[in-house]
Amino acid sequence: MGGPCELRFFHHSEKSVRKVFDACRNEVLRFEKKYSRYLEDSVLSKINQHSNATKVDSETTAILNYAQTAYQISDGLFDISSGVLRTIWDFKSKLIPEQKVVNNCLKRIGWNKINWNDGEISVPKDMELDFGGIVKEYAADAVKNIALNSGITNGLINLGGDIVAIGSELTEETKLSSSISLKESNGSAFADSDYSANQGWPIGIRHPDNSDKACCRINLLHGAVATSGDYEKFFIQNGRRYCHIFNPKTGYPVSNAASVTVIAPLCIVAGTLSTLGMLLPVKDAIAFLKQSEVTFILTYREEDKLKIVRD
Amino acid sequence: MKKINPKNCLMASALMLPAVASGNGAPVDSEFSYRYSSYVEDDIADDVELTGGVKSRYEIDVHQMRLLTLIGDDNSLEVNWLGESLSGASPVATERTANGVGLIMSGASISEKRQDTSVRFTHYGELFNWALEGGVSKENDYESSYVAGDLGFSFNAKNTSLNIGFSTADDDLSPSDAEVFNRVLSAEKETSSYSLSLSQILSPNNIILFGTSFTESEGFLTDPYKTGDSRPTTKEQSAYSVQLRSFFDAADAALHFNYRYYSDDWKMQSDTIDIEWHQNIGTDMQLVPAIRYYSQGETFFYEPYEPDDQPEFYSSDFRLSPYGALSLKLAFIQRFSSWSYTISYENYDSDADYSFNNVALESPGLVDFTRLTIGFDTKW
Repeated sequence: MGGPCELRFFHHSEKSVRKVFDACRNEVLRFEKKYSRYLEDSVLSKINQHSNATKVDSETTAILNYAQTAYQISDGLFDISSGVLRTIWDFKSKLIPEQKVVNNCLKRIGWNKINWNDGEISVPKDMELDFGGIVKEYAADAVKNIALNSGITNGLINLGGDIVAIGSELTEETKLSSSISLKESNGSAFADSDYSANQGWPIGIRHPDNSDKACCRINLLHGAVATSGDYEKFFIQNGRRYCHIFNPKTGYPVSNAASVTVIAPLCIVAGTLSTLGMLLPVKDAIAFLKQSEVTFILTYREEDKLKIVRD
Repeated sequence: MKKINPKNCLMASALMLPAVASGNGAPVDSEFSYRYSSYVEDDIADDVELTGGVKSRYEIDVHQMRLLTLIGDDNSLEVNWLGESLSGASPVATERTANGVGLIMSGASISEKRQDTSVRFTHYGELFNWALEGGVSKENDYESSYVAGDLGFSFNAKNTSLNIGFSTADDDLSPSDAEVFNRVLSAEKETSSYSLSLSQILSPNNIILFGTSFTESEGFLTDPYKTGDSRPTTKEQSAYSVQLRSFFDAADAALHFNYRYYSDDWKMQSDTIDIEWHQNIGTDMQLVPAIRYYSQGETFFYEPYEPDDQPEFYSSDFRLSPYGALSLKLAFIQRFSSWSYTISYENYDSDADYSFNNVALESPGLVDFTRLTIGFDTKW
């Protein structure tokens, strides 16, 4: 899933929680196998390999319909066919591609060029789809559902920064000896009893320019939080920052907010809104997020200082 | 034109994702619950003209137990047991008096015990759930048994579920002291019931359910302990309900709203409105204030007292009279690790003035009661 994953569940029975934990891990692996760009036999690869019509299952249909909704409400800014821009922007060599190369690449982008007919898709030969920004967030929502349906009332799911909370982090007093939590970090599971009292789950939002520092903190009770930032992969050339989030209309990395964090009922929605918050100019992004009636934290740089807008 | 809310558009689309819609709902823990209720009816009010019997009414102690065990990952077996002991007096008849209507109560000697046992097996499939159920109920003068089954399935990315149910019951009645009081020696009743319900998730915090049921009964439907009581031998009942559940994030509370309309071919109609507020307090406590309003009309053969012309069907049973009722309830639930404890108190007040209808003469037998319930649930 790219990035460390962590599951923390409180439950009265250790046996039950291990069962839930295994079911959640299997679900994450199922998504990885089904929608990875890197696996040749994944559903996504099959869609990308065939230029003629490919029939897809109901889950993939729902994902593609969701992507279409995101495309429509953003006037084409959220576009799952924009991943090809990765091939012309080389973050290692820090080279800015020639405008001609960018223009050629733009011809290979556009959800409107893809023939999507509820259940059947044909992607033109030189185009490809990428579910980054959708599937990891969807997986976090799916894992939450498994946990909820398994009787977990307090837990936290963190799939590489996409976070979903169930209830509250339990305190020492409420936890008692019969409650345990399972934590997985890079594949190892262990019971962890080192928790402090709190209502909801305390979550630190990363400072865009200092990975060890939080720029602010939130308390998450029943909901999801997703963050997009320009700090994950970037290079600076002639004083301008080129990050890994691309505007599908210009073909260039965005240069708006430094990071956008959105709290929403579902992680997939929080993820889409935070990505769109990065794609829009700061002023428009704030208006857009307000219109969405979500809690958000938007940071931007002004004269080398980080400004924080919280609503 | 109002601007669209992008989040709402995305939410509507995201809720179609199958893994976001809920799972098959199979329980994951074995559960045991116990409840004790003390049900106490108020004495006959001072403004009721008592022309026979005692003022005190029923007191019922009820013990209930429920055990749910898992059979594999997708099946559960549930056993319910109820034992109650009843003592006190009940209305026997009404009679015309100079001031209107008088009530004749039984003596205070009634003492009954009842035991109910039922077993339910449920299978939770990916799309279909089905359950089979059966039970018996025994009193010294009554024996009843039933079998039931229901089938539920979900579609529309599990946002919509449909449930159909069927049950059939056989009741055998052998009233006490039948020969002394000239009651029927033994009698039978058969009941069949069909139900259909549809639930729809409207948003992550809102769900609505529509339900309808149809019940037909045949046999001895008269109350053998009431003097002069004579009812038809068939009855067809139908009910329609709508239930709304809304969770409010800001308040960390859920609103349950239920409305039910009932009618039968004895020409009785009733409306029930139920409103509950489930307020979470921190993570381990819940306070639930609730209010229920009920109003019913009368059956076609109800009379406040026996008419002179001795009609084919007649009853003065207050349960068939026009009246309304208001019930207030407060419940408190405290969770403690894998245990939860509950205490609730209910005050029920019935009165002809609460009725939607204009009631000329209130039945003197209307009942008011309080109910105190304590209990616990545990999982393992």
